[in-house]
Amino acid sequence: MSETALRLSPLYEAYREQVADWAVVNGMTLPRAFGRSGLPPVTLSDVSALARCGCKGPGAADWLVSQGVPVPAAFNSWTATENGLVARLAASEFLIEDARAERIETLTRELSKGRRSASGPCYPVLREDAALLLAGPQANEVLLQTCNIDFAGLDLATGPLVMTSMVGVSVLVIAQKRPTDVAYRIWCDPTFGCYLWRTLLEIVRELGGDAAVHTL
Amino acid sequence: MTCPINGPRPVSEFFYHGELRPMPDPQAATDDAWADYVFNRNGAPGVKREWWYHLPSGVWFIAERDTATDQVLRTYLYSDAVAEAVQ
Amino acid sequence: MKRLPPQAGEWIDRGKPLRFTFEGIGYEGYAGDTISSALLAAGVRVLGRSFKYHRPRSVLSLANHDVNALMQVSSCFSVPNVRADVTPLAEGLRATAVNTIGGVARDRARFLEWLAPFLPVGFYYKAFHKKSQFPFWERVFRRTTGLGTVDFSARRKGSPKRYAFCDVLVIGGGPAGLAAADAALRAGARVALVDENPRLGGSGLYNLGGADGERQAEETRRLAAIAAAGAVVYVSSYAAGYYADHWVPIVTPGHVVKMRARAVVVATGAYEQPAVFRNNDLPGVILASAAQRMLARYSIAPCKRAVVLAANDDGYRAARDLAAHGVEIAAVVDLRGANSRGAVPPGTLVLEGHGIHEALADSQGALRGVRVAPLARDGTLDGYQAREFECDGLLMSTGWAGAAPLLYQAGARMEFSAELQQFVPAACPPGVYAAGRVNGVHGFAQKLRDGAAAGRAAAAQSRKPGSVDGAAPSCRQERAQSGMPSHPYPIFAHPKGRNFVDFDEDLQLKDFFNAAQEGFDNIELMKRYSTVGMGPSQGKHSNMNAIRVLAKILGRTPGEVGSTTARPMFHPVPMSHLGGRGFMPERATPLEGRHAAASAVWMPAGQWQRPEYYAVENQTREAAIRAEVAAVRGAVGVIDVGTLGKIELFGRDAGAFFERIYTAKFAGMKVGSTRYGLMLDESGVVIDDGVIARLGEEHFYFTTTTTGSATVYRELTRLNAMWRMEVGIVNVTGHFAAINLAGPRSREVLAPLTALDLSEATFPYLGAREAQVAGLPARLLRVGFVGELGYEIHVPASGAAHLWDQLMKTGAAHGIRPFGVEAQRLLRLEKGHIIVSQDTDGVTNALELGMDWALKMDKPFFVGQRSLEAMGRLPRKQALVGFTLDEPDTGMPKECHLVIESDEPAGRITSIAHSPAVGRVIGLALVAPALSKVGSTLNIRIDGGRMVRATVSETPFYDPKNLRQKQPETA
Repeated sequence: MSETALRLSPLYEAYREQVADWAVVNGMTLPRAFGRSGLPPVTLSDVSALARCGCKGPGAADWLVSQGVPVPAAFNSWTATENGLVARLAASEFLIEDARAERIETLTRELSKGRRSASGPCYPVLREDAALLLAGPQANEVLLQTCNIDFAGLDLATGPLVMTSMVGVSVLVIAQKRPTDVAYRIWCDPTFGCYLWRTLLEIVRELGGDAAVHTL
Repeated sequence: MTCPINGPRPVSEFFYHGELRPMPDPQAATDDAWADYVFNRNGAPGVKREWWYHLPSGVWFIAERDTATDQVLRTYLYSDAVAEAVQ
Repeated sequence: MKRLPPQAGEWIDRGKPLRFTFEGIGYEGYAGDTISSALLAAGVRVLGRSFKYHRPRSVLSLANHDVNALMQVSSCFSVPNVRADVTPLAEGLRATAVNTIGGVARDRARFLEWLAPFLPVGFYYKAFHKKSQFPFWERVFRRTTGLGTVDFSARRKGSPKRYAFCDVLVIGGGPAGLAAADAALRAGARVALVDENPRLGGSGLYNLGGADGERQAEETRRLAAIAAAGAVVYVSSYAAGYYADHWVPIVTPGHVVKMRARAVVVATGAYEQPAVFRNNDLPGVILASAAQRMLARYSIAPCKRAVVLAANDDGYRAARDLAAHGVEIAAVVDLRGANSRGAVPPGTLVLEGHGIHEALADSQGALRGVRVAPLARDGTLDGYQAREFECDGLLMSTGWAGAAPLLYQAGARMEFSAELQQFVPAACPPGVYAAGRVNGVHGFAQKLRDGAAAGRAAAAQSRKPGSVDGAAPSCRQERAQSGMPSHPYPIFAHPKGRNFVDFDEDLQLKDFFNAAQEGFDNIELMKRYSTVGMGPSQGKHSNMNAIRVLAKILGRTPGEVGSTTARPMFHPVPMSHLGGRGFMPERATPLEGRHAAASAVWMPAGQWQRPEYYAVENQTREAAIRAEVAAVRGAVGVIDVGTLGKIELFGRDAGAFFERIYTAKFAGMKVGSTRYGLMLDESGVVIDDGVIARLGEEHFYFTTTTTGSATVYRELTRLNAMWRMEVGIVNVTGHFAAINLAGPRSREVLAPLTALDLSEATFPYLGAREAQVAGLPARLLRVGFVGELGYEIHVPASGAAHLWDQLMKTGAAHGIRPFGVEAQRLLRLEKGHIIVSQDTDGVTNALELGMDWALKMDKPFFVGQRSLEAMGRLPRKQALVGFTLDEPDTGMPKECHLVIESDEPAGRITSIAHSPAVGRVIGLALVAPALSKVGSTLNIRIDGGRMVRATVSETPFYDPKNLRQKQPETA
């Protein structure tokens, strides 16, 4: 099952015993279904299979623009792209995520050649993050139990991005406004992924929700 | 604590490194002067410039803190302080 | 006491009767009752026994400002020290009073009161200076004064905490707090409101003053409805304390809410204070506000015939409330002179300039009457002119103390107002506002104005910090209109005593004079010597009187005497609330599942779990580890080294940056090579080591120790924030996985998985290459490690499991085994490799390690260089040496066993193990320089004081010329 795909999600060990049906997305083994139906008040999904890369440096913003990647102007903000998103972390570091793996592979290849722009150099950042999606009307409740940030008070129109600590782990969080709710994307170091997943899932279940599959 | 880049965050998200202390020229300093720099710290209360680090984002910055009242007067990036001083 | 007819606004639901027992006797109350109110309605006169003297007690404040009614309560399991006054009644509840021997009615410990002369204040400090007596007395004390019993069968309850955020937090839902919330809501602020009681309204709904109170109650209800609709309201909840930057934990019945506000309004009200006179603690003697709560909330008449002791307007309001419910008022006794009295029902006797000389007890020990005496010119009561009045209820309304702990904790500057006879805030810190009685504003209309002003200011502050600070409260007019709500000294001595100041601790007036006489005449010393304010109520009903007494003793003002520090928690918080959910981060490499499948036995390494060894059926731990070691030396082994820190360094100045942070030279490193790096701090102490690989002209990739990764990355970025060199530093510790393949067969195992030419000529020892391995982009490093031919392979984390599986597959034919931390430790020890922070400590400097080859002192600068230079001129203090044990069977030393020379410690073992390859016990030790020459004898003292001998030897112990890792074809 997992031997066929080259890549495993950092969260694989946390949920593999609950999954019978697997799929391969972007070369990564992912659950096809968790076996629950209906609309739970809150769900937790593994979206680590989205392709991603990072770059940093004084020339990073300009270089990305030269590659046709839209760059948010404000520090700590993000912007949606056609198939993904671009996040500006602090001042001059970026996370680029795209459902199309080839796009990311192209960027990674170019970055590894040692890039510069007029503003200075741009360095590649390998990103093998654990990536989670927390969604549903009760999603904010999960955050209130785990994270000392007032997400409900954020102005989502400006696309804010928060780097903070959640249950003791450094995380990157954004909120995506959807028709019926707000969904939160959470990234963390892959070696903390299983711990974060298990901890959040326990709270999600207490609120009547469960793990779910998110179609990328 | 207010990070200059990330804004106000719970103080548990930060790491305190210590007071900003200029390093004397190692070639020119005597052993005594060098040892004083390495081992001795200023314990008197007052407004100090301190190195602070925001753990989730990796931002280093300077905080001016009155250690007698534990009030942070302002925070800024080291590079901004250097630029200011040059001007 | 009896239940009055139904009235609007009562808290009880007469449609829901509840049955319960107290002291084994059955009673009935209603939903909405508390345990005490139900017992009072049933006519129970004694609810508890006091702490020291076991005197019969009943309600004093009915507001959780005293613990006269402290009970052991059982439903499914038994809970000790329940405060019956404020605990909701439940069906089937069984309650008993704590601190009795034989029940509250016939407490056998009540004879202790006769021993009172032998139990003066502080007697335990004097009585037990001989240890021998104490064990006996300790047992006696625990029986006679222990409060409650713990039920160990109680179910464990987790109550996860949650964060909450608001613009304005209003603490207190009485008239001032409601007015503040209303004003803040109007200003558009997000408001949170907290109140201890099950319903909002506070004194606005019970301090009515008779029929006039209806308008006040209506206005209070209107404001309460606004708050309920617009604010987040926490009832039956309290603010446990104030912490920096407006962080307030709110204790709700189910869990703690960690509230961060932008501004806080403290409208917590005031504690009504008891008057001090002989027998002021009899059941039936209550605070006037307690009587008003009984009437308005629970429809209970506190008594049939009452005497009201008053020194303010509130006392008269309480008298009118009693009369409105049909309670007979025998007299109103006013401590003040003429012309101060308030309105009373026609025909009520008012005795101005009088006080209570003594309360009188009946055969049960409850109130049956009082002796009222005129006040003499010196403020004492003239007992000879006392008159007796029959009554079964005595209301005390002689003063207030602001409920100000939160203000103190917030750093407000408090001052004593002589006009108000109350400590009030003189200056509050920015963002903190006081309103209502705690701010010295008494009187309903005044509280509303004061609250509204505070709410407006708080809302403005929350939008624009710094706009309005709480420095000078603009409440002067409101305070001035409050009159003098507190009597300066409602405290009266009596030759027979029993005039209580602190009801929790049974402290009488003379105890304070005795303490001062013994020299404890400072408020902090007085508190600790007498224990005033140290009981469960934490001084809510006693601190103010204690300050007044001490002030009188010293001839100073209460302001000069000052107040002790009020610390969180405001009320006791159950441990289950504080326990909540524990978050202990765990870190795991992507190979966790593979290790588990291979029967790994785990060991913690910081936040990580690593395989210590892999268990084999029917093999002991030692045998399994030996087998892993043998596999590496004889064939091939594979270990997950993914916990190592991994950092990428890019940029033009990358080489120069390394030159400055490591001790060795790196600027001239060839692309495609690796080098060992030792990292020091400014004092020359070793803090980390690792392998640096140069993958390109402007691209370095290096490792750090497992525990050092975060620290090293942090320090490197700080240094570059200062040095501003053109480098990019990227911490990829979790994003790369790393597997070390080691052993003479490792080339054969790796070759089928990669197109890279692994021959000695093209990929020599200490080389670094980038290539595809098992279809994954990989970095391969040939390093010393365990002293065999080996490859450390780094791949992106998501591919780790695939790589491991492929290595195990191709390695199967060669007898590949996974090996764990214990085997790795032994293999590396055989090569004499140090483990930073095991073979070094917080003061081990680089010179002591004997690694001079790694210290390039001729570089222009590296961190720690100048200190090494200075230390190089000083005599060495210790040296790290290798050793072998002389006789294997005399005993096995452990790490940290001492080397003894001339009866003095001369060093210690840092690493030790039996080496199968060498056939001896080998190790490393930090020893005095005199013992560091090869061939010297080390005398090691092991457990039990036995001595074993070892000899200092060269390292590496195994394959001293390192041929197996460097030139495996020739080894």
